[in-house]
Amino acid sequence: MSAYIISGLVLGSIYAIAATGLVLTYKSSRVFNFGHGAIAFLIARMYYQFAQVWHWNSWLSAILTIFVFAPAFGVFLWGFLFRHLTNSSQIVRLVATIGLFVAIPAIAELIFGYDPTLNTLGLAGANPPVYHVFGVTLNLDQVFVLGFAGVVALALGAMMRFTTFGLLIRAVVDSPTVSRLVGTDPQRVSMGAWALGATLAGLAGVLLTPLVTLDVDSFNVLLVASFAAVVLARMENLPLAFVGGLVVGVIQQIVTKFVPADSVALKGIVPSMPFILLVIFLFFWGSARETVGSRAAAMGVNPDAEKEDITTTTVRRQRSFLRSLTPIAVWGVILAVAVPLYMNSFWLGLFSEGLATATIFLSFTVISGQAGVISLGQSALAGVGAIAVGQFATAFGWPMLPSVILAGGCAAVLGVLVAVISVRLGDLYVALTTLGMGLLLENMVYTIGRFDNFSIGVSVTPPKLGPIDFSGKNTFYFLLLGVFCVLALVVWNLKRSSTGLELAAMRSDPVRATTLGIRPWRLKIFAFGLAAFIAGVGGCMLAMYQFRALPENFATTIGLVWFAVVATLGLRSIAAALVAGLTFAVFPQIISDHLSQTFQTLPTALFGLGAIAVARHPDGVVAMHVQQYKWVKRKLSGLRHRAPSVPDGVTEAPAA
Amino acid sequence: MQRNAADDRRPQGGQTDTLLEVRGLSVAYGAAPAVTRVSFELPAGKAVVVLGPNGAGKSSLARAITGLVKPTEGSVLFCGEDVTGMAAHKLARRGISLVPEDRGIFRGLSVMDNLRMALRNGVARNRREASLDKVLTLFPVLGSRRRQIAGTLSGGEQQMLALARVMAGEARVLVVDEPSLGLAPQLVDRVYEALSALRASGLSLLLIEQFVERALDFGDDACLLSHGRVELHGPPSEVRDDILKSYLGRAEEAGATASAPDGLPAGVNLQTA
Repeated sequence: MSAYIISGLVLGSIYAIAATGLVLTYKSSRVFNFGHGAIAFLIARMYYQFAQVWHWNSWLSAILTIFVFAPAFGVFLWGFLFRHLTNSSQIVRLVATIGLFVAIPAIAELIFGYDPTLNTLGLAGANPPVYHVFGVTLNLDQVFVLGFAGVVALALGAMMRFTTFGLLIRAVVDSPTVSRLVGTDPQRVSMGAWALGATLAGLAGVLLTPLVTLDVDSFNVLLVASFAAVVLARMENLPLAFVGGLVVGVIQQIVTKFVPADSVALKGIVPSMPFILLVIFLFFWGSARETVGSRAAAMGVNPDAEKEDITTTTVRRQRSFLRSLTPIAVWGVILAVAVPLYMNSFWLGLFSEGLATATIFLSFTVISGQAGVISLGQSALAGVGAIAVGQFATAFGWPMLPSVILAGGCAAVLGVLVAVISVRLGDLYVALTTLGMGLLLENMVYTIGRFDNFSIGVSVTPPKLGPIDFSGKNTFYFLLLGVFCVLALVVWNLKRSSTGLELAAMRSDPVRATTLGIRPWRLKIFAFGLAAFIAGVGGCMLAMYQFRALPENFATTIGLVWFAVVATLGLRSIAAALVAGLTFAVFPQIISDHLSQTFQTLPTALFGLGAIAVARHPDGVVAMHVQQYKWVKRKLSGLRHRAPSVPDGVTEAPAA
Repeated sequence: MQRNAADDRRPQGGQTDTLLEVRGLSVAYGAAPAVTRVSFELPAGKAVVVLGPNGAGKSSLARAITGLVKPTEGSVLFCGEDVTGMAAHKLARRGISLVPEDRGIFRGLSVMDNLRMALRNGVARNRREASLDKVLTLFPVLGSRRRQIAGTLSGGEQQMLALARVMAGEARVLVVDEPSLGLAPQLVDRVYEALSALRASGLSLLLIEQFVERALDFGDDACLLSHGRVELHGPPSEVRDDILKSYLGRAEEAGATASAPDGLPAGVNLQTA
């Protein structure tokens, strides 16, 4: 038993260090950094580069990366991004950090090269000495992890309690306005907190290098595990976050003892333990039912009232954009229908993939664009749709149409379930819960042999409907186009309906919407269900395109990239979902056709940077779309009438 | 910018330099004007009271002077230097302090930490101990509650703490927004005693109030705001009757028409997020 506890403490120490960094930055700037794991990866990758590729002294490398580069990077992120987000809404902040999550590892691999077979060493070097403590075998790397965790706990505790910087952080957390009134610039304090947060992320990353392979996914999954500790600490409580990290690590290891080795359960339960705990903690806080937002609202302080109100401006803008959308839609359909005429089968295939992806992206339009909530589990829900259609249509041999609808229904049920758990807790918790759900499904459900089918997935073939066989390239393309159009019409109609109006009211001011008799959580649950259905159907379509329902194609990290793409192009518009789908399918192909292997992560980096740019100019990109469309319209009408048209007063500069 | 030692700053008795001058200051929230071309002077060691009904623009004026909102027009001069639109924390370091309607204390921090925050930016290291002692002798109740979390103090004690932090920070100008709001009459007396003590120690005060009589008794100069404009201005002895008449008249008018379009609803003034 003590062996499990001690190895749990090692893992838990890393969670604890990561969790305290997250809580620290969240407390001081109200930004929950989904990119925390990405920063850890960047620093670890850098450490590897210094210590093992360039053969520098490992301690020197560690000190350089953790205590020089990491804080500098934190300050850079603060100055470049987070400083500008102080007055942004929660959704914009989440978009920004998800952009970091996507962009940083991709950029790190662009810089240092992509090397999936990294044999990484820790601070202790190639053959770390081994110690026996209480009958447990520990190597020096693991001892370092425990030691650093202890140092971090003591140092942070002392800092918060006894130092001026600690006092400043506590003061700024308590009230940024009063801090300004007594002469403290909250932004400076926030900068310090980001430097410290990035240092802690870097420390966690470097300590993690000898324990796992140095690749983005294992880093992200391990650091997402620390979210459970952060939720336990309710984002605020540093000591609790630290202890929570340890507890999560220990529980995860103890579970190994009670699950039979070599079983499927071991493969699934152990890695997903943090997410199970995350959901349990959420339930726990759900029963407490008091979130920061509601408390502030009860005090008569609307936390978003003073903020630059991007929601209302975009609602206003969206009206004109919608009106201008109709001709776009007409042109779009004409162009889309004609695609098979002017494209060879390779590009037609890419466009088919793009359409299937765009169908999934429509679910972002509903959940994030309409309901104003960020769901990071849409890829997992699409995966559920794909798995379900594989079972219904292939394993059970049911007809395709009811199978697809049922598969969408399965996703919808799951979506509603997740919404019921999380919606009342607030937007940030929704993002965390959906992320947790995605990773849980990935570990527990995707790995089931019946679905995984020895990593080749269950085959799914396009249907035959009477005389039409949809497995032909052209016919299948039209099937995808038809499905997309039908679902797009549903979404378009939702926007125009009174439910759409209620959603818009809720986005712009939840408290006031409630006084009008709108029940935000019901609306959100409804939106979750609809979005999950759309994602599920989209998953079916993507599975059909790939001829198989392979769960690993619907990994949660892929979903985050999807989200970044849609956020870049516009979360509110159907056209943007379509363009995003096509971009996601076509752009990487263009890159791999024209650039060398080195640049294979360039599209991902750009998708992430796009989301960051949107977060910095939330209004800019939508405005930019309108402007570009108007420009095209002017050009077109100019061609038609051969007369110069009057520029119509679009004043916003296009976003960066 | 470093501030000089407190002793240099504090004006000598009888001196009437203009410490703070507001010239044609306007504030607007989007299209809604809150304050329109307000001008007045605050001499060192004196108290100017700003009166006016809800929504007259009093709090917006306070926020503009202390840097929490940027004025759309006009200027603020502090010791002859133009400080218009300067960030709030920089103004605070120069010695312009605001106690907003909601007291402006760190509710989640202990009394002692509140005072430490104030000392940090205003007072040289070697004088912090002395400054703290001075404050605690003036507000003995705080001394006995050093470790208590400020949010759990009573309303009156919170107001005392707010004034104590101004004193500890060695501010030169105190802008205080409705210090009597939500306090029992007895406690209001205590607050005004404390304000008198602050003025006696050399602080200049800009007092924003709705309690007309009380404020007029206190101030050296009075200013009546209405719809964001200065309606009356002068020493209390001269303007007292007019102000009272204007107030009562407005009250009757407001009672008759049920709602006076006062520019801004009261709630938006100083809610801190």
